[in-house]
Amino acid sequence: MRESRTEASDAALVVAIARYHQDALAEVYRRHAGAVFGLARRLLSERTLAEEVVQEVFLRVWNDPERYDPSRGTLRSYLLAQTHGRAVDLLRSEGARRAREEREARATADAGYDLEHAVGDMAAAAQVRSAVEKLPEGERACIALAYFGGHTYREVAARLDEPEGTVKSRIRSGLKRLRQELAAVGITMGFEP
Amino acid sequence: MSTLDRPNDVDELLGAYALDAVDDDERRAVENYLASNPEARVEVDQHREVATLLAFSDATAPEGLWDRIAASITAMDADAPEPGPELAKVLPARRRTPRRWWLGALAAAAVVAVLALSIALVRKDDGGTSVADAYNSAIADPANRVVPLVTDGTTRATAVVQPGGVAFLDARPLPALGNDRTYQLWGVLADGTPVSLGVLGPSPQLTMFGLNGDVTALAITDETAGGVVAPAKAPTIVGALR
Repeated sequence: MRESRTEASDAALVVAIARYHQDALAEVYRRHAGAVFGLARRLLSERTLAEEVVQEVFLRVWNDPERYDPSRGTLRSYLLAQTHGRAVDLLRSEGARRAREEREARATADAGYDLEHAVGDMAAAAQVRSAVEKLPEGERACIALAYFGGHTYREVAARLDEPEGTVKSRIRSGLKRLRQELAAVGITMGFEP
Repeated sequence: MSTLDRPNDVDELLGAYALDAVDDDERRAVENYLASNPEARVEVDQHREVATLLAFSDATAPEGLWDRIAASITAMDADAPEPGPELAKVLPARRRTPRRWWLGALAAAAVVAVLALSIALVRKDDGGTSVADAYNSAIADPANRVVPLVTDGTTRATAVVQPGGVAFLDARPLPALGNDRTYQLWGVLADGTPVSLGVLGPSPQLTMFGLNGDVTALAITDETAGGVVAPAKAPTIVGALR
């Protein structure tokens, strides 16, 4: 059975999880835990908090596999969205916010939010970096501060001294532009409506 | 004054919402908007997929973390039933009530709310490989009920219902439809009410589903792609269960 799990699709694994097959969750963990932890760690300065987020995300899959809707995207995207949401919740809590501000104070302004270098190493990393490089600087900074900094668009606007409306528009247009650029170089999103 | 008075205002927030970069009030406003605007929901899903690529890293999860997760599961599920047979690439109504999961997986098959019937249905293309074997075993087992679904005296599909409610449908003999159409499977209750059991697509294959209610007949209709809440046409084929 173990061998068949390694060959199963993510969607099939989630079906198996719904039937109490813990080895299916283990396989999902094997495939995606690194990315989940990597994102949590990038957002949260405390390693133990990042580990808690990983634990919560996978336990949520175990308890509520129905929440993953394969018609809406890949399992990895779902897991990372869950991870990001939970990490941001923690980040915005008072204690974590203090820690983040201390960390930021030690860093060179915005150096920690270099979107080009935030993209991890993977087969398509070069193309992803290339697409990121093509973004207008304003869009790139807004997306990086919002996604990897865990800031609201209002906070991003304050940090960049830009109107709030401009920032939310840049986030949206930047994400659309990235999608187009990635599609142009053959990077598929794993999801097409 | 609200900054979200017009739909366009909410649309402008979709990117920030996808990145969790809105405050709580705005998040609620966007979620209300998404509930009735599928195009906006697709846009959010697309933004999240892009973010997934940005978020990719080669990090490794800490050693021992899986053990902690497994221990939590063991503690939570101490009273859970044993897993079912591997053949069941189906989401049965056991600890979980099938909800949007299978609806989404089947491209929004409709469900009537008055359910004495609790079903789930997953098609073979869900990565499963054992549906054919399971069907062949089931149809050979005399304990199971074989239900021919016929039209004009010709059997166009065959259902096999196991005593526990797990059922199979072989609708491969049905002629293929255009991509704008789909076959849809219905359970007919004793009072004649049809309850959708899921959409089968334009070229049905072997399918597993679960029956757990007072269904007296099965029927298949030809509907608009995506399926319908109530059948728009008379059944293409029917088969009596009792």
